[in-house]
Amino acid sequence: MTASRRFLFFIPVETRGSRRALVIGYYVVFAAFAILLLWLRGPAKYDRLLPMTYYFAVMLGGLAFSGPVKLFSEWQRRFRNGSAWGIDAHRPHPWLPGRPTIEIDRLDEHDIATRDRAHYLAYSALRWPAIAALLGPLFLLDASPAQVGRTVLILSVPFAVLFFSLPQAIILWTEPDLDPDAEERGPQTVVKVIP
Amino acid sequence: MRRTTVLGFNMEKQIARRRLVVAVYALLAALLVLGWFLDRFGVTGSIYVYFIAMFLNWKILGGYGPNGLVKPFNGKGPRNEPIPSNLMELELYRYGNLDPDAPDQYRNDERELGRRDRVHYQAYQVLAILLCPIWFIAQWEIRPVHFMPPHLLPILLEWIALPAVLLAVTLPQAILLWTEPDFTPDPHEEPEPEPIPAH
Repeated sequence: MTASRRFLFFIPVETRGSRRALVIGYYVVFAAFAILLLWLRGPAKYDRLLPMTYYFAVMLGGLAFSGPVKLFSEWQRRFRNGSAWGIDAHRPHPWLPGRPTIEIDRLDEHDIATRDRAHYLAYSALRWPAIAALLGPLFLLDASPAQVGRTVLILSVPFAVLFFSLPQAIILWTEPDLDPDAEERGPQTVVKVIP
Repeated sequence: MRRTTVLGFNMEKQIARRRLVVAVYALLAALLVLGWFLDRFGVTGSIYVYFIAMFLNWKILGGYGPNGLVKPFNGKGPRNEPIPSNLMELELYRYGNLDPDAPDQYRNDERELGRRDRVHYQAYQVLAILLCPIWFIAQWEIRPVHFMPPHLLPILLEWIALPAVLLAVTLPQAILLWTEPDFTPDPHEEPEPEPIPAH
């Protein structure tokens, strides 16, 4: 995580404590949103929550360029900066001379290790719920296809909330406090020693 | 990786492990087809395929258990249990045990931990791709769409959901076995003595 990722909207996420509060708040807000949606629009609109799980997770980063967590995917990075189509990623900006077209944080070795470890932990945690969610409805004897579909959908929403957001949540939860960047450090006093 | 043989076959070469991965998935695919013809993925067709996948995972692939080619991902050693008090426990101990005095059988080194995490990241992407159509189909079953005949939706759902479950169980280990290079002999290991020719 870098200095550009110190805020989620207006919420500072520089310290581990604030990021952990953000993770808890994220799930609380989604649960409140789901309850509110179902209360106002009725249970028939439950399926509207499924795409919302993705849109909410995008806010945390990882799946997109914005958000406190760096973008996970290398191919998505290449598509964004144009190198996937053979365009120079460091080409000058078409309208703002002197600036590269798109600034994308690079993933260093530590970022890649953190990303992979977060996905391992998330995979290990979600493996059994995924199997239960996918295999469970198949065992519904004498159930109509609509009932099976509804059961899959009901189980899918809480699973999708975790599936899309758990790696980012693990990273936010475990990463230490951010160091101040070079630009943000105060001017360093240079003492010239004259013998 | 911990072991180099499966059912008597040498798995030191990458090509041998790739053949094993192909064979495992070919077997699972054949069982899926069989399960479909048996009872259209009813209880028999899906449960047996799932349990066979779990067995292959447990006995051959490893990773999420004490047996198999891939070391346990969690790096936990065997429990130091007292002497089994009944036959069932004895059987479980026989088939699930590891040597507690050989930590290299279950402890992953830094490279192996890195590989383990990377293959889980890759498997996560594959499952994300598979989950999207499942969710679409589940949604279409509630709100039918004009471009998909309604009677096809449950069939499609089953044909995507069950392979997704099988992949969730086996994919990280399969990627690991597929990508690990050939074993190189340990230079510190003493070469095996030449067999004495019979006169």
